[in-house]
Amino acid sequence: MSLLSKSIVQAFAESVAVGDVTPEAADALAPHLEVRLREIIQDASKFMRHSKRHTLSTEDINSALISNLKEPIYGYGSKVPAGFSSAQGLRDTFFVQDPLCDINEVLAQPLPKCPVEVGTLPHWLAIEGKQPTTAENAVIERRKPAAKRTRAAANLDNTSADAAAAAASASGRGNETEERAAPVKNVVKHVLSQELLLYLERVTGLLRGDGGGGQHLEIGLLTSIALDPGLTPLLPYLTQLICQEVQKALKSLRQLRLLLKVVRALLQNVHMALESHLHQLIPVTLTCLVAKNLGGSPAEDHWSLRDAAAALVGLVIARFGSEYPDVQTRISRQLLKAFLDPARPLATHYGAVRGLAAMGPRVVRLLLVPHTPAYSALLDKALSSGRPSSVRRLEAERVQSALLSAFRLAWTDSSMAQAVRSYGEAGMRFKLHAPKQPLRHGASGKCKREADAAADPGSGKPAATTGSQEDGAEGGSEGDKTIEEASSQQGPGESAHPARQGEQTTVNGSGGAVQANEAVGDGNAVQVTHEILKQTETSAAALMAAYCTFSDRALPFVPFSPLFDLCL
Amino acid sequence: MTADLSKEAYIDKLLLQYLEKKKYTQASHALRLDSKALQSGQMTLAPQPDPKKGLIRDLIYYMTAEEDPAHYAKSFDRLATWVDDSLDQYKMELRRILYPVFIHTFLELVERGAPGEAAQLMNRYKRQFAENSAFPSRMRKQELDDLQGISQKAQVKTNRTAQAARSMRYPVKLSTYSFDLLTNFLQAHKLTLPLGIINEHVNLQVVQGKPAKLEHEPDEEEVSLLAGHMQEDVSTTNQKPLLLGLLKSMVEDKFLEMQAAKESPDIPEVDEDGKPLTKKARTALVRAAEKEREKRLSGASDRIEPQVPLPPMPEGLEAELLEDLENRVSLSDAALPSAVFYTFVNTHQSLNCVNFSSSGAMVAGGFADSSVRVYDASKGPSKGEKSQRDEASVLRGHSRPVYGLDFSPDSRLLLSASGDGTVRLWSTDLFANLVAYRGHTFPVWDVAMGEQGHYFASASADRTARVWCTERAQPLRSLVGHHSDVAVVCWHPGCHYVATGSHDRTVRLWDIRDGCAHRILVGHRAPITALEFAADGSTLYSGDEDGCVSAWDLAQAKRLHHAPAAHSGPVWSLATSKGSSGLLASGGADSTLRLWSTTDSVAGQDGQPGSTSGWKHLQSFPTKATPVFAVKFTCRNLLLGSGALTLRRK
Repeated sequence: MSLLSKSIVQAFAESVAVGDVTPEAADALAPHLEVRLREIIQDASKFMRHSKRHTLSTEDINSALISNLKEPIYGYGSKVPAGFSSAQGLRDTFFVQDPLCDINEVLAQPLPKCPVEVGTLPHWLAIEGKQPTTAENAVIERRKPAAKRTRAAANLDNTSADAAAAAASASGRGNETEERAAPVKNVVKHVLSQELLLYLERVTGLLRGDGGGGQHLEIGLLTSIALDPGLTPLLPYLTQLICQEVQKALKSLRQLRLLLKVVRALLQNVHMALESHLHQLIPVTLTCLVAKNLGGSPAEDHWSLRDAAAALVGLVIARFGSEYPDVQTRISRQLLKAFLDPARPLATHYGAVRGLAAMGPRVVRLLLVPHTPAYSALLDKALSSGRPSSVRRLEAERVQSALLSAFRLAWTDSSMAQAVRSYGEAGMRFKLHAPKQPLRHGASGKCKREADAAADPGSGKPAATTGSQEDGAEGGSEGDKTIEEASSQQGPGESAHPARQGEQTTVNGSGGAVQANEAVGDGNAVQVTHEILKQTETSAAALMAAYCTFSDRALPFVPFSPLFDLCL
Repeated sequence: MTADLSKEAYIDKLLLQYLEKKKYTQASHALRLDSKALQSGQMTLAPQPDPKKGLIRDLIYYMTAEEDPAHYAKSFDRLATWVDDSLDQYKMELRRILYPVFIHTFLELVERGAPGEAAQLMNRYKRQFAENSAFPSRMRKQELDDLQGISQKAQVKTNRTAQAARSMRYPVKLSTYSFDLLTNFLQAHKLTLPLGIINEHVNLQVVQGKPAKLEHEPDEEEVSLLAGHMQEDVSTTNQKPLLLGLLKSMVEDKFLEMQAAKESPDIPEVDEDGKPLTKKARTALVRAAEKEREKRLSGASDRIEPQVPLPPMPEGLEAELLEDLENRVSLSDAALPSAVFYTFVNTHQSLNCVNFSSSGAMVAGGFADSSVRVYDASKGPSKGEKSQRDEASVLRGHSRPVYGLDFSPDSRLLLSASGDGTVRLWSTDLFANLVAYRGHTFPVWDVAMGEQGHYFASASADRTARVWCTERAQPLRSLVGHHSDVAVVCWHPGCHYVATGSHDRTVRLWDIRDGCAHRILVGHRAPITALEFAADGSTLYSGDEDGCVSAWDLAQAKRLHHAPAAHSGPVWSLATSKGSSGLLASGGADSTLRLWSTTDSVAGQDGQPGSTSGWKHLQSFPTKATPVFAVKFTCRNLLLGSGALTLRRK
C-alpha cells in the first residue's frame, strides 16, 4: 500500500526511542510517513533548482527541513557521498558507516590544503556576433561532411547564378553556354583579424631574426603556437614563411633550429588542421635533415640539428602515418635514395640514417639492414683515410655510430615491445592513477609536486601560466626552456587518447631508446621501459601539479580530456 | 427537443437503477412501463447536464455508493482499452478524455477508502500518461507525482493538485464524431462510472468538423491542473485595462531630442549645382527636416506621467546615461553584439545566482555559503598582482544561501535575497550592509529593483511577491494570488507594473498601485525560471524549466510566439537589447548563450535548424562546460553573460 513497510516504520520508531509500535499502528503510520517524505523531497528539489544544480544534495534536504520549521539532520555536510550498508540479519535496516577516529591521529595529520579561492575569468564570448577561437571558449566542432557538401552545392548554385547573370549582362560574348557549363569559383578573400595580423608581423620579425626578441619571446611564441586553438587562419602564412626562411637561413644554424622548433610546435597543436600543409612542411624538415651543408662551416654542430629534424620526421609519421599511409613511404624513399647515393656527403648519409631510424625498427630492418654490407665498404674507406682528426673521418664516425644505434634499436625492438607491453601498459595505468593520491593527502601531494618541480621545473607551470597573464612574470623566469619541455606541456593533450599516447611514446621512446642504449652500452630493455614510463609520468604529473596549484583556474587553458575525469 | 428527450431518458434510467438497487420492485416496474425510452434500453450522454441539479447528483451517488471499488478500476481499464483500440484517426482525440477520467477515478478510489486499488491503478497508468505518449509531458508527470502520495481521504483535502482537480471542470475538445463514438461506447457497455465522472468533472466541448490531428504537435489542449482551475479568474483579470506606456522625461527621449536639435541647423545654403537656394526651396527643406524629426519623436508621444511618487534622478547619472547612449551600438539581425563572459571558477557548485551592474563593470555572485561576492572589473588587477582574488569584496550577513541579486540603476546599491527570508540592501561604496528587510516568512527566491530605483520587488516561497521601497523596512504591497512559490520577478520599464513567474506555471502582471493582478498568462508547462520585458514595455518574454521561451502580448493577454525547445535545459536568464533592435538573448543550463531575433519581419520563417514559429535563431555561443546563469545587455548594448564552470564528476 505504501512504499514503506511496517518494519521500516517500527525501525524508525525504535531509533527515536519510541518502543512498542504495534503492527496496526505502524500500518496506519506508513502512509503518513510517505506523504511527509514526499513533501520534504519535493521541497528539497525546489532548493536544488533555485541553486541551479541538477543533483540533489544533503544541503537541499536540510534547507527543506528548515523551511518546514524542522530540525535539520546534522553530520552529512560532507561532499563525499555517504554509503549505506544493510545491517546483518535485518532486512529492512540500513545504516551509514561511521568508523571511530582516534582524535590524536586526526590531530597529528598535517592540515589539508586550503581550497583555492573563488575567482572570475572574464573573456570574450563573441565579438560582433562571431565567437573567437580562444582557449576559454568551447572548441567548435568541425563541420560534418554532409553539411559541407550542401554548402558546396549552395556555393555552386550561387556561382552559377552569378555566372549566368554575368553572361546575360555581357550578351555580346559568344561562348555563353560554355560559360554556364564551367562555373568559375569566386575568389574568396581571406580576411585576418587585426590581432592575427599583428601576431603574424611579430612572428615574421622573430623568424627572420631581425627582431632580436631574445629567448623569452621565443619561448612565448613556441608555447603559443603549440597550444593556441585560434591560430588556424594563420597556418598558410606560417607554413609559407617557414619555407621561405629555411631557404634563406641555411647558413645560420640558430635560425634553422628556431624554425624547426616552430614546425614542431605546429605539429603539436592538436587544433591545427595541418593535413593540407604537410607537403610544405615535410620538404623543409627533410632539408634540415639531409642538406649538404648546414651552417657556416662543417665544424659547427649541425648534427644536433639533424637529430632534431629526425625526431620531427618521427612526429609527422606518428601523427599522420595511420591516416595517410603514403607519407611514410614517400619520406623513406627519399631518405633511402640519399643514403644510397655515394656521391652525397657523409653528413647527408648521417641525416638519412637518423631519419630512417626515427621511423621505427621495422623500417630499419627492412631498408637499412639489407644495404649495410655495401655501405660499410664506403664507410671503411672513409674511416681509414686521412688523419684521425680530419673532418671526413669525424663525419664517418658519426655515421657509424648512427648506424649502430639504429641497428641496436632494430635488434632490441622485439624484446622492448614485449617489455612495454608487459610493464608499460600496466605501468602507465598505474602512473596515471597514482597522481590521485596527492589530492587526498595534501602533504604527500605537496612533496610529490615539489619533487616533480625539482625534476622538471618547466613542465607544470608554463602549462598553467601561458594563458593567465598575471602569472606572466613567473613564466618568464622559467623562460629558458627548450622545446623539449614545451613538448612535455603537450603531454596532457596527448594523453587524451591513451591509445595514441602509447603509440607516441613508443615513437618518442625510440628516439629516447637510442640515447638510452648509447648510455648503457647494450640493449637493456627494462631501462628503456623505465625511460618511457618516466616521460609518461612527467606529463601526467605536470597536469596534476598545475591542477593542485591552480585548481579549476588551470582548466580553461588545458584542452579538456578524459584525463580530467581520471584526475578528479 | 431530442436533447430534452434524451435528458429525460437519462434521468429515468438512473432512477430505475436506483429503485432496482433498493429493491423497490413495484415502483421500478411502474417506471419501466411509464418510460418508453427505456424500452429500447437507450441511455444518452448529455453534453452539458447541470451538475448542480440535485437529483442527478444524488442518483449517481446512490448508484455508486455501494459499488465495489474494484469496479472503478475495471471500468477505467475498459475505457482505456477501448480508446487504445479505436481507429487512429480518433485515437488521439479520445485520449484527451482519459486523463481527467483517470485522475478522478483515482481520487474516487482514495475517497472511498480503497487506497490499495488506487495505488495499483496509478502504477498501471502513470507511465502511460507521463512518458509513453508521443510527447512526454513533464507537467503531467509532476501532477501525478503529487497525487501518488495520497492514500487517505483527508489528504485529498490538503493536497494542492487534488484540490485543483476537484474544483475545476477539465476542458476537453472533441469532434462530433468522436463524441458520438464515446457516447455509444459508454452506453453499450453501461460504464456509468466514467460517465458520471465525465458529466461531473469534464467540460466537454463538441466541435463541428474533422477530428484534430495531433500526431505531429504536442497536445495544445493539455491543461495544467493548477493553472486550469483558476480559469475564471484569468478571463476576468485579463480584461482589465493596462497603462503600458513608458514614462515621460526618460533620458532616452531627451537624448533623441538633443540629437534632433543638433541635426536641424544643417539645411544647405546652396543646392547641388552651387546656386543659392530660393526662399521657397529652403522652407520646403526645413519643413521636410521638421517632419522627419517629428517622425522620429513620434514614438515618444505616448509617454505617460508616473502615477506613483518617484525620487529625483541621482546626480551625475543622467550625464553618464547620455554618454552611454551616445556610444550605444545599434544592433540588428545582421549586426550582432559582442559578448563578454565571466566564468566563475573554483565554486564547487556553490554559486547560486549572478547579476551585473548596469554598466557591466561590477559582477556580483550569490553563494550557497550565504555570502555575496562583488567583483569590480573596472578596477582590474594591477600589474604586480598575482591573481584577481584580491579584488573580490565579500559581503556577509545572510544566514542561508543567497538566491537572488540586483543592482540599483546607479550601481551604488545592491540587493540580495536569501533563504533566510530576508532581503538585504548593501552599499557598493562601503561594501557594508545598510538595511535588512524582513517580511517574508519563507525563502526569498528573487529580488528586482525598478528601473527608476527606489522601489524593489521580492519573490518568495511563501507564494507572495512583495513591493518595497528602499526607505521603509515594511513592504508597501503584498502581491497575493499565485498558487505556488513565486520564483522570479521583473519590473516593467515604466514604474507601474511588476511581472512574476511562479512554480504554478503561470506568469502574472501586477499593478503596484492597487496590488492586484492585472494579467494572468497561462500556457507554460513547467515552472517559470526567467522573465524579461521588451524595451518598449508592450511584450513580456518568459522562459521555463523545460527550455521553452514564450513572448506575450500584454495588452491582449495572449501568447505571440512560443519556442518550445529554445534550450535543452532550464532557461536561467533572458535579456533584451536596448533601443529598437529587438534582439533577445537567452542563457540556459545547456551551457549555451543564444541570440534570437524577435522582430515580426521574420515571422513564418520556419524550417531552419532550431527555428521556432516566427523567431529566428540568430546565433548560439557555446561555453566551455559553463551553464549560463545570467545574461544582460548593458546600456551600450554589450552583452554580458556569466556562469560557474562545472566539471562532470563521476
